[in-house]
Order: sequence, then C-alpha cells, then structure tokens
Amino acid sequence: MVYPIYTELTQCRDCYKCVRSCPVKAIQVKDGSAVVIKDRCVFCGHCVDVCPNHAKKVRDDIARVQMFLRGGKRVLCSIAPSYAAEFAGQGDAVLAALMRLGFSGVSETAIGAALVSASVDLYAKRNGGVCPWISTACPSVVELVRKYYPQLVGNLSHVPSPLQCHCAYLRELYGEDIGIVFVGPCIAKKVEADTTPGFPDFALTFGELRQWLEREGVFLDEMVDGIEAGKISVPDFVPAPAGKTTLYPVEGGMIASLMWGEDAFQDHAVAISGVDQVIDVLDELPRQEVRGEGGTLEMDVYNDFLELLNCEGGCVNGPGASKGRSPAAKKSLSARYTKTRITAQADKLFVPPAQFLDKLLDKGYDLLVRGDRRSEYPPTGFLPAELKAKFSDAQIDQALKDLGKVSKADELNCGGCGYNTCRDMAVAYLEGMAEPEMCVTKMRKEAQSKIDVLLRTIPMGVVMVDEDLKIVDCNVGFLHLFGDIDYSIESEIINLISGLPLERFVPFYEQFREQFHTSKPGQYRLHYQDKFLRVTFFVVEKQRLVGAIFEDITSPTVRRETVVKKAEDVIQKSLETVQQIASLLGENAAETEIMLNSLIDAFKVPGTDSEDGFLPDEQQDLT
Amino acid sequence: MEKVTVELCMGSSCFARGNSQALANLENYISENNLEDRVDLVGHLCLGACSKGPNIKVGDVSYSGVDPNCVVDLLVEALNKAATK
Repeated sequence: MVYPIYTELTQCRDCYKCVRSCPVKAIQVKDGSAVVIKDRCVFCGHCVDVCPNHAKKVRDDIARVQMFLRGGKRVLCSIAPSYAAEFAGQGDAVLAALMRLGFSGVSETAIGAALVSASVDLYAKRNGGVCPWISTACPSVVELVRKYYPQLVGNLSHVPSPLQCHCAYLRELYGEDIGIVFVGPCIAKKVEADTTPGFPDFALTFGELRQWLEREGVFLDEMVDGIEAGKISVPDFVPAPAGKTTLYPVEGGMIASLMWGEDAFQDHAVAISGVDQVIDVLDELPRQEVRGEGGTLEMDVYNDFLELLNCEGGCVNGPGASKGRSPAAKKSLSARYTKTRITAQADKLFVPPAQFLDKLLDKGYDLLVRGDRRSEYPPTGFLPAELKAKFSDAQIDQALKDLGKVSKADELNCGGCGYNTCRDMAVAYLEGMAEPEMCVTKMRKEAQSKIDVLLRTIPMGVVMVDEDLKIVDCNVGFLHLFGDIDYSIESEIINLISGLPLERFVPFYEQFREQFHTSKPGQYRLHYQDKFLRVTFFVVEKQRLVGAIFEDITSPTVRRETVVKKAEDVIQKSLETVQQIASLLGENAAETEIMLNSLIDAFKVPGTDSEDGFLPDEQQDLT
Repeated sequence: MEKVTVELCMGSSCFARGNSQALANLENYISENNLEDRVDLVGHLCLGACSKGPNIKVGDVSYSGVDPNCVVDLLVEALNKAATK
C-alpha cells in the first residue's frame, strides 16, 4: 500500500536535494533515483518541500474520503487550529465549504489539545509540579522517537496526541459509529490515521482540501460573499469552540496553554521546534527509567515538559500548508485568532470534563485500541532490526576507499552527496542506501584523470577552444604540430598554454569559429607547412566548447604516391610486353601465310576450266 | 474466519482506468499483512460494464468507478465484517 510519502520514480533526476534535507537519511538512491524507505521515514515532509522536480508525493486521500462520505455515516471534520493562519480572512468560508463537501459537522482539533493540556496539568499537579514527558502532538516527533530513540519511548506523553484524544472524545460524545476526517497542515498525521484507524479515519492536508474544493467548484471567495449576504450559514463548532489551545500550532503555543504558561519564565517546560534541534534534544535525553517518575536527577532540566515540534516555528509552517505567507504572519494570525476567541466567546468555550481527563490519564493509548477494527497498515513502530546493521571500522575504511577516499585528507565532508560526512556516506553505501556515483569529488576526479590520460596518450594533436577562441585545453601532440617545438614538452607548459588565443598557434583559426554555428562538425584535410593533416572537429558543449583532433597523415600520403607511381610503371611495362608479343605474332602469321600460299600453288591442277571428257594424264607413273 | 473474495475486472478499459494500480495496491497490502489465506484475488475479463468502470467486487458487493486509492479501504471493511461474523 502507498505510504504517506512516496516517490514518483520517473520524475526523480539525481540532485540529492532530498537526501541532504532528510534529517534521518531515510532516502535510498538506487540507479540514480531517490526512493523514500518507509521503515526509516519520520514523515516530516522536508523532501516533499525541497524536491525541485516534485517527485516526492504526498499520498492523495481525497478519493478515499469521498468514498467514506458516500458510505452514509455521520462524518465530522476535525479541523486543525492552524486553519486560521492558512485561510486568513476566509475562516468561516472554509467551515461552510466543509459542510458543502458533505461533512455533518466541524469540530476543532484544539478540543483534543485542551484535553491534552488539562491532562498534563493534572499529571503535574499530582507529581510535584513536574511532568517530564515529550509531547506527542507532533506525529513526526513520535515516529522519530519510536524509530531512532526506542529507549525514550517511555518518555513520550502517556496521553495520546491531541488529534487522537479529540477523536476519542468525539466518539464518546456521538457514538462509535461516526467517522472523523482530520484536515490540517501535517503530512505525518496520515500516519495516525494509518496506525490508529478511527482516530482519525483519514487525514487530509490543507493542500488536499484546496484541491478538493477546486475540483468540486467550491470557491472560497464566493463563499465569503455568500456569508456576508446572509445566503450561506456558517456552522457552529461541535461540541463547542476550543479556548487558548488554538495556539498549539505555534511553537510554544502548547506550553502557553499549560499551567507553566502563566509564568513568563516557563520553568519546567521547554518548547523546541525544527527537526535538527529536536534531534539534539533527544540525543541528550536520559531514559525515563533512569530518571524515575517525578524526576530526581540533579540536572533538573530533564524533568521539564518538552514540547517538540519537527516543523520549524510549529505546525503553521507544516508541509501540508500553502506557501506564500511568512512565518511571522502565520504566527501573528494564530495569536490574534486565539486572542479574539478567548475574549469574544469566553462564555461558550470548551471546558474539558474532569471524568474524561481521568480516563485519558488512566487508559492512555489503550483508548485507541479497538478489537473490531484492524489496523489498516502495519503500525510504523520501531526501526526493523535489519536496518540497524553495524559495520566494523575495516568495512567502513574499505567503503571509503571505494568512494575514492584513500587518506583522511580525501574526506572533504562537503555534503554534496547529501550526507554530512564522507564516513556517513560510506556507511550509507554499505547499507545499500547510497551509490558511489553520488560523490561529486570522486566523479570529477575520475573524469579529469580519464581525460588527462586520454589526451596524454592519444597519438594525435588535440585542442579545445571556447567561444572567444581561447585555448581551454590541448596536448603535447598539438604543440608538436603547431608550436614549432621539437623538444619533449613537460606537462606544466601545457597548463601555461590554456587561456592563450588560438591564433597564436594556428593560422586557420577562423575555421574554428564556424564550428560553433554548424549543426554537424566536419572533417577536413589540411596541407600545413610540409605536412598533410586530417582535422576532425567535435563539439564538447554546444555554443561553448569546440575541439579539434589533428592526425598527421603525411607519411601515409607520401607512401600512397609511391604506390600510384609503381602501379603506373607496371601498367606501362605490361603494355610494352603485349605490344612486343603482338608484333611477333603478326610477323609469324604473315610468314605462315606466304608458305601456305606457295603450297597451294604447287598442288594446283591445271586447266580446271576444260570441258567434260577424257584428259591426258601428265603424270604417267602407273606401271 | 470467512475468506474474502475480491474480484477485479481486468478488461482493457477497467485495467487502463485504474484496476492495474488497484491490483498492485491490493497485492502489496495482502503480502505486507500476511493475509494470503484470508483473501482470494480473482481476475475477470471484461464484465460488460466498461462505461461504469473500473469495476470491482468485494465479497458480495459490487463497486463501480473505483479509485485505486480506495480498494484497500474496501478490503479492510470487508475483512472487519468477516471477522465479526
């Protein structure tokens, strides 16, 4: 099945930008194409954001939700509070539009946040004023902890995420048979829909919602007008509007809604956003068991409640939100929205029921387990053992050699391949996650040495020039032909030549200029000084670099002329012979003819013209 | 536990309009969750309902115009039903 983030292979064109941006290096490069490995992925969405070819896709769940709505269930929309920043000025229109799409009602995910905040406060009150948990509001942080810091799973909040709590609460209010679809700025929320089906049933991004509205022909501007004209009604939030937890999508917003939020110094609660900083925090955090419930370690900071959000600045800047509004604007919009809310509608706000809080703290994640509901996808729990392979130093050194890093000095740690260090890259190469071709230094070095060797060993003159007809590169053969230098040329001199104008070496340099404009580079024969040369032009880079190969064909030319001469001699000789034979034959024939004629005369019978009758026999020898 | 039979129309119209992807999605899901002994996949040549395609039948229920992204949901629903029977 398709996971929340996947790769469109045909669109990927090896730039490694995704590898570079991936905080956990969950991207495998195979045959030049980058593929997200789901078992390693924390679904932060960075790769989706940075991919210049849009080859990283977010699973489109619109069709699934549409089918779900057609199923006839009562389906509620759990809308993330960041909608205030996403649809500034169109907030009411979005709510009305959701009803038009077929939802039975709209509820705020911030209700779930209110439940979580109240639970954390309650827990802290019961535990000496501290609650040393990692917030589970960010599903990407939860994935990060599960896959890469399994020892810290015990540190995760004992109550589920705000969205999951929201769903559990709605189901308690309206019955098990309802459906819940989340709409928000987050890609990773799709994982919650996958791993705890029903909590929620589906998760859409704001981007998907916009797409869906467009497809259905629902325009928010028109909705705004309709609402102002009183033609379209705006649904009230069910069961009630949430309070200050609508600030959750901004870094620090969660803590602001907790009991520590009232204190300007906020001791015992720390908000950190941005995945790199989150990783730094997790790297240092001791296990819950080491610390013990309530916290007793000397370093008190570990007893703090940690609000960790993988998106910098909080959910408002999530990958499922639209671009084009600054983080400052989004933060400000969220803050104003929350402030208007708690001042204007103070009497209507949602108050977490005490008995449900007890249930949350008591049962925690067990609230989400349903015997009758199959998990739709294998829960993306821990990193599979085969992905945690360890390699010996010898193996890594060998891998570094394969990558062309023979000595420590070769390890540039440039990050061009996407990995921070050459060593990281070598490990990824051993794991089959990376290919040697990803190392730009290696490839460039290889290409350079290939061309160097080729130029040095080829028994011809080679020169390459740029569009200003300045020499970019040439070889010794070229200098032998045109440089009037007989002694063997050291390679250093060649380096001095690059940059010099071609006309200083060849008189026919204008011929090169034409090559920049012809579609097909040609081959010519050239008589230069006392030599015959075959010139083959070639284009290195269109309109930028043209080269020529000069092949000395002087000696073969001379040899050919000799052959032609000899052949002509042979023809002449044989002609003479034939003529001699012919004349002898003629003489012979004439002599024979004379002799035969005399014979004929000798045997001739006289008087052949006489009449019939007896004739006298002149040769009377009948004795 | 009852087996669930999923019948897919593999006629050229349904195949081209999404059932090839639907089949791939189902096969992936079944193998990832080791459901080989709970699901039967059956392919058909054209069922004569091309205009309404892609067509698919899960258990006793026929569906038309199915988006390939949805087939796993249909299967999961049928499996849940079969499990509670």
